[in-house]
This record gives sequence, structure tokens and C-alpha cells, in this order.
Amino acid sequence: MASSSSSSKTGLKKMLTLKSSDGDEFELEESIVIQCQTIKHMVEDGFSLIPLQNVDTKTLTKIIEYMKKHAEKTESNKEEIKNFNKEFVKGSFDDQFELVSAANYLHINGLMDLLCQSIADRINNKSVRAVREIFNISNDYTPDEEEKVRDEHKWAHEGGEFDESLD
Amino acid sequence: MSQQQMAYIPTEVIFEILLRLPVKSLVKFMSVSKSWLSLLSSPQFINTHLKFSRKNVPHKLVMLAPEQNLSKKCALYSTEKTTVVCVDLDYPVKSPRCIPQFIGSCDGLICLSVENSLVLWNPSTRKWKEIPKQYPHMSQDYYCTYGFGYDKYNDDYKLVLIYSSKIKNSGNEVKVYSLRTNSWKKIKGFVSGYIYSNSGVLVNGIAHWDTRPHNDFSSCYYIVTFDLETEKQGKIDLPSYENEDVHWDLISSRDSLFGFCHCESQGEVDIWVMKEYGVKESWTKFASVAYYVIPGIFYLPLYINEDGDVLLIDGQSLVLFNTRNNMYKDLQVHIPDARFRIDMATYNETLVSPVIDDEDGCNKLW
Repeated sequence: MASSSSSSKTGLKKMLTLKSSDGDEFELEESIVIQCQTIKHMVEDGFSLIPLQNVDTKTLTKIIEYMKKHAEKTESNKEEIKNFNKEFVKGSFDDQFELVSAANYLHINGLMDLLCQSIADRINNKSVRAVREIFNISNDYTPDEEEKVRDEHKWAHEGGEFDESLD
Repeated sequence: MSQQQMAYIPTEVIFEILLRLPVKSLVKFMSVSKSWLSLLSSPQFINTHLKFSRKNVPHKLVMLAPEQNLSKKCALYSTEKTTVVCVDLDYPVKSPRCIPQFIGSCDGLICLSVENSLVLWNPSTRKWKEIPKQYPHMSQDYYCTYGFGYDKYNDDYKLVLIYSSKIKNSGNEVKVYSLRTNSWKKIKGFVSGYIYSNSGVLVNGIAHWDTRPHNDFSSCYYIVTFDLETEKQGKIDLPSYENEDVHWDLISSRDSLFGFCHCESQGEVDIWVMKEYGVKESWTKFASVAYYVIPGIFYLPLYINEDGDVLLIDGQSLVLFNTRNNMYKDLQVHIPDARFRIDMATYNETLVSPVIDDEDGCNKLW
């Protein structure tokens, strides 16, 4: 009963509920959520409550913010979306990795592309050491092996100082 | 890639991020870890990166302009729109005694002929290899020309070599080198005619050479083609010029075939584009330029951009010629030595290796 009255209030808009891994629920219009391929398939299979075990509340909130904004995309607000995207990718590497992993899991292609490009641009001029730290990778080369690989591509390690910072 | 290392970033996400980096950074990041090295060297990554850059990264133009001092460098210029960047790169052949001849550029690989050697070179990764030698035809009556490109069907890079007889109407001798098999094979039967152009112009995986019939100096020029995928030859007619002393230059720009017809008696050059590939009737003349307007057009058209402007060498500078108002703009690029032949081609940075796995390359990674 409640659901039929709610659908009459919102016209014909169909609502869906997303549930984060922390158990928080978010009610959204279907038209917004179907930007996400994973959810779209679940909707097609008849689900209306969608549990997202790999996405916590903090990340899901950001992702919903992105989907809402991009659902408003028209010919006339291109500049606004561009500015939104610029702000959206400003977080720390750790936050960006959480988001990109979620975007990958949810198959939101536009968001995936935005985040991957922004991370790539940010690490482009980083040193090898900084990249290991940022991606939490332990160096599994022996000193000899590492020198050999570096020697093989000396030119790629030349041409100015690389950025050692981790942000 | 072990899960322990990448606690919270899935490998496919790392893959997607790395796809978006320039090649020089990818080579730098091979030092990050063994797993990054193996990811970045994997055929899957190299192929996906190639497809990604074909689709998303604007192609650059490279200009190969040999220096008079041939010591160790070869200048590789890239032009995007009207800005030109010049990069000096270590030349694969350390001390050539003669000017390298540009053969072709495809998917980041550049093919050159240097002192009777044929070299495949990826300037972005700096890997190169020498293609097994084919000894030149002993007779002086033969002219040797090439074509280099990609065979989509077999996922292979191929080099076509043609020995064209200057005098005899005996058909041309054709050999094809495959990078995949690292070997040459002879192609039976080839359209006759004297192929006198420098190297084949690639459009749609097909090489094109402007050709003149033997013993006939009338104006019936045509194009001989070789499809790298099917290894079949063909012929395309050029627009007819009645009773005129003309000669042709072909260039490829933005996946289209362009013909520059020099009408010396008229003192002008006609620029044609083949609008529908392979259809003679679709040759469309979009400009005629008198020699006195810009003498450079006479000898070195390099490229035609999306606005129909022609990039060419005029004396010692690179200019962009607007065919609609006959104006031209100096791009402020110094040409090292305009006496030498200068070539231009589209180029994109890739990780495609001229050295096939298991081959004892001179510069393999391990």
C-alpha cells in the first residue's frame, strides 16, 4: 500500500533501494541508478533492494552524488558537469582507490574513466618509490635485479626530477 | 599479481589506470615491482594499450628529418594542429654513413632503411631490430621500393618490397616480410608497370604506389596496390589528364588517399582526394595551386589536415598552406637540412615491440 501511494506521489518514477556494506539504505530513482551496469542487470532480474557488500557508506554516498549529477547531464550544463568532475577527483589517493574499486565493481563506465584518468595524471610524474608507497606495493626486486631493469631503460628515468610526494 | 601486495586495488583497476599513462612513464614504472613489469610486458596489456591509444589519444605527426651530421641522432618532430614539438632520439644505428630512408610508420613502429639494412624501431620504447637482409637486385635496371603496415586479420606487421624494372615489361618482383614469422616470402605475379615512388602510401591496410606504364610516356598513370591482409595486388585508376605532361605524388592523411597532380605545362598542382575508397569516379579535385603561389608545394606535400590545409616544406621551414584563400603560415620549425628528403607520417606512442618473444633480440628486456 505504502509503495503504491509513494509511486503515485512521484508520478511514474520507480524507486530502488541501495544498501551499503555498513547496512545503510539509500532510496533512489531507477533512472539515476541504471547508469550503473551491475545494478541495471539486477533491476532487470526484478530486484528492488540491492545489497552492495563491497561498497561502504562513505564511498556509496560519493557514488550516488556522482550518479545524481550525471543523470542531470544535458547539452547546456556541460561546463557545470566538467567543474563537478574536477572537484570530484580531488580526494586523497586512498579515497580515490576506494571509489575506483567500487566504480569497477559496479561497472559505472563514465566514473571509471574519470577516476582512472585522474589517478594516471597524478602519478605520471611520480618517482618509482612514491608509486610503490601510493599503491602499497612492496618492492620484490633484489637490488641487482632492480638495477638491471633500470639500466635497461635508463632514458625513462632521466629528464628532470620525479615527484616524491605521496599526495 | 598477488593479493597481498594489492590489498585494496584490484588488478583490473591497476590495468585500467596504467592504460592511460604515456609510454615513457610506463617504461619507468617497470621498475616498481616484478608484477608491474610482467603486467606491462604482457601481450594483453600491450594490445589493450594499443587499442586504447588508437581510440582515445590524438595521433601525432612525426617528421623524420635527417641531420647533415649523421652521428647518433635522428630528429623526430611531432605536430599537433599547428604546434610542433621536436624530440631528439637516439638513433638505432649508431654511425650510419648515409641518410636513412623512411619507409613507413604504423602503431608506433617506424620502418627505416639504413645502409642496406632494414630497421624496425619503436622510438617510444627505444626497442629496435634489424629485419633479415634481402640482397639488392644486381641489375641497375631495377628500382626498389617498399610499403609497411599492419595486417589486421593475422595481427601482424608486414613489409612489402618491390623490385620494379625500369625498362622491361616483365612484371615486378615482390617479397613480403612478416614480423610474426620473421621471414620473407615471394609473391607470385604482380601488376606490371614501373613503380618509381619512394614508399607505398598506406590507407585501410593497403599500400599504394603511383605507377607508370612501361614504354609509354603518355599520361596514363595509375596506382598499384597491395593488400597486406590478403596479399593480393590491385590497380586503381587516377583521374585522367588528356595530352598533358603530368606526374603524381600520393599521400595518405586521416585514412584517405590524396593525389597531387603536377601539371608542369600549366604551372600548377591539382590536389585530389579519393572520397570513396577504390571508386575512380569519387576522385574529387578540391584545390588547384599555381607554382608561383608557393613553390614548396612543387616538391614536398606532407600531410592534409581536417580543414584541407596542406602541410609542406618550403625552403627550410614547415608551412601550413590554406587552399581556400591561398594563404600560408610559417610553423616556425627549423628543418635541419632541406636538401635531404623529409618524410611525415602519423604516429602514436605504443608499447608494440619490434622484437617478437623467443627471438634473440639485441635489446631484449631480460
